[in-house]
Amino acid sequence: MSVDGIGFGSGYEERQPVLLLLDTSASMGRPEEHPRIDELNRALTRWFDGVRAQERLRTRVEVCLLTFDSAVRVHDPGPGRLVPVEEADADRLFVPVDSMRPPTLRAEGLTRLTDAVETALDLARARYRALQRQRVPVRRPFVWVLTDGAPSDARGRPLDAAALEGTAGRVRQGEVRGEWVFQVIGVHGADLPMLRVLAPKATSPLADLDFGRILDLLFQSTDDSSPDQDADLVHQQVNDRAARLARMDRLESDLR
Amino acid sequence: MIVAGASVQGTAHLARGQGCQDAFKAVDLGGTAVLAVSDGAGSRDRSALGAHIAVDAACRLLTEGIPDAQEPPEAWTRWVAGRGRRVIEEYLRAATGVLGAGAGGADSGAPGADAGAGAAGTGAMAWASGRRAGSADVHALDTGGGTADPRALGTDASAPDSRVPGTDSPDSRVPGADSSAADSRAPATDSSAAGSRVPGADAGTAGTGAAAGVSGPGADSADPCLRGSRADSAATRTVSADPVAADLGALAATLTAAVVAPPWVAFVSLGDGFGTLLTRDDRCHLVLPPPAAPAAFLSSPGAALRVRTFAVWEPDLAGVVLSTDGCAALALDHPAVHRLPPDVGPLPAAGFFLGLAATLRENHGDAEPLRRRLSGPEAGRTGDDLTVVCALVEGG
Repeated sequence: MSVDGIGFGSGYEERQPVLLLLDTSASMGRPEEHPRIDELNRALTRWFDGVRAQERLRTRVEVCLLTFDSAVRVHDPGPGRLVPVEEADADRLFVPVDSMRPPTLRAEGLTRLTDAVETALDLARARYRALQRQRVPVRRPFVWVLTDGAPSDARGRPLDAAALEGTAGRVRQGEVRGEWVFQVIGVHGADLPMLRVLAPKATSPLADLDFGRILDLLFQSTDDSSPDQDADLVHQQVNDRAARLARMDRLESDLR
Repeated sequence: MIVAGASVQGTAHLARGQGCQDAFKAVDLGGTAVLAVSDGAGSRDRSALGAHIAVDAACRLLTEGIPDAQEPPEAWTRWVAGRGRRVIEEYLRAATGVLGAGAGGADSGAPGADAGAGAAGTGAMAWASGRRAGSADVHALDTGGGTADPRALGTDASAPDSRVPGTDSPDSRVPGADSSAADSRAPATDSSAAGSRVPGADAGTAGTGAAAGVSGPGADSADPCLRGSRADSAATRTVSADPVAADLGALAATLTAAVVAPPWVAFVSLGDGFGTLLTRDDRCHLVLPPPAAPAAFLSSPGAALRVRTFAVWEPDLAGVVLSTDGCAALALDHPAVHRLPPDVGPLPAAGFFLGLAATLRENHGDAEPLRRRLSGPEAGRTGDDLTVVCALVEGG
C-alpha cells in the first residue's frame, strides 16, 4: 500500500470556542466623517472572508459574536441577525470561523459592558460543557472584548471600580481555573484605567491599529498559545505582539 | 517484528518557532518490542528534554524482567504495575539530575542506553524523525533481520544524555516520587479493569482476547474531551515550595509505553497519549483511549499514583500502535461518524491503522511514508506535534 493508503480519521478535531464582544454604543458612531463602526463592519467582513485560507483556524475555531450598547445581543446565524440572548437557540450560536457572516452593525446607545461580559462567560461555559458532552476534544474558550468607551449602567452613568468588582472577580477566577482566557482591547479613547479593573493583565490599548489587524492579533493568539499555558502568559504574548505591531507601524509610517 | 515510528513537528509549533516537543523510542528484542512515545508540554521551556528522558527511561526499564508468555495474567499485571512506578521514579531521578539537584552520585545507568536482554533482533525496523516536510534533520534506518543486538530507534536524542548525576540506588527516592505508591494497583477502581475492554472505548469492535488487570486511577476512563486543559499548571504551582520540584515542571512530559510480547501487550501510560491494538482479522481496538480527566505529566504531583498500567492477552495480536495526543484527530473517529452516540467515545480510524500496517509490511518497515503523511497539509491542520510508533507481529 502506498503512502496514500494511510487514511485519516474524521470528526475528532479539537475545537476552540471564541466569543467576540463588540462595542456598538453611540461612541462607535464617531467621528461623524469616519465612524468607527463603519471601519469595524468592513474589517469584520474582510477578516471572516479571508479566514478560509487559514487551515488551522478553520479546523479548530468556532465563533460566537455578541454586541453591547444599551442591550446585549448575540448573532443568530440562522436568520443572520442580532437577537437578545434569551431569544436565541444556544446550540447554534457558535459557527465554524469560516462560516461566520457578520451582520452590519449600527452604533447607538450606552455601554453595558459588564452585562455583555457576564452573558459571554455564561455562553462560554455552556458551550465548553456541551462540547464535552459530545465527546469532542475542546480547548478552553477565548473571550475578547473590543470597546472604545467605558462601562456604564442602565442609565448611562459610568461604573466605578467597586461596581466592576463582581464581574472582574468572575473573570479572574475562571482564568485561574482554566475555564477561559479573557482579553480586552481598548480602542480610540477607551477608559483604560477602568477596563484594567476588569482585566488587570489583559487590557491592551490598541488605539493605532485598525480593526483588521486587531482581529489578526487576537485569532493568532489562539494558535500561538498552548492548551496548558497560563492565561497571564497568553495576555503577555498578546501585549508583546501588539506593542511590536504598533512599533513597526510607527517605523513604516515614519518612512513614508 | 517490524518496528517503526515517526515524529513530526507541529505546524503551530513551527509557526511560533518551537521545535518538536514529542519524542519516541523503540527497542526490538526479537520476538518482543518495547515502544514509547512522549509529548512534552507545549508551554514548558525544556519539555522536549523531558520527553526524551521519558522515552529513554521507559525503554530501559521495560526491557528488564519481562515475564514469559506462559506466565499467568497476575504476573503480567504485577510486573507492569511495578515497572510503571519505576519508570516514573526514574524519570524524576533523571530529570532532577539534569536540573543539577542530584550532585555527586554515581552514574545510575542511563536512559538512552540500549539496556535489555541480548536477544537477537529480527525483522525490519525503521524510524523517521524530524521537522516538517522540506526541512533537514530527517533520519531513516532500516535494519534487516538477524542482527545480534537489540536495537533502539527513536527521535534524535539531541536531548539529554541522561547519564545524570544521581543516586545509584534502584529505590532512590526523588522529589515528587510518591513512596505511598508502594502498591498503586487498583483494578477494581477502573470500570474497564476486567475483560478485554481495557479503558473504555472499544465499542463497535470485537473484544481482544483477555485483558489482565488495570492499575491506576479509575477516573481516567470516562471523558476523552479534556485534552486542552492539562492539570499540570496548577499542579506545578503546588509543588513550588521545593524549587527543584518546581523546576521539574519545565521538563513536563507525558508518557505512553508498551511491551509487545505476543500474545501479551503491557501498557504504561500517564497523560493523553493513546494506544491501539491490531488483530489478525483486520480490526483495530483502542485499548488505551485518550484520558477523560485533565491529563497529568510525569512531573505532576502524585504521578506514580496516576500512572495507568495494564496488560492485554490477545492470541490474534497483529500489532500495537502508540500515538501522542496530536494524532487524535488523524487516527480516531468521532462516534457520530459511525452513527453511535457520543458517550461511546472515540473509535480507532481503520483507514489510519490498517493503512499504516499495510504500508509498513509492504515496504518492510520503512517509516518514511508515515513521516511524509504526517508532514502533509492534511495532517498539519492539527497544529500539534505528531508522533506514532508501532510494532507489527511477523505474519500478522
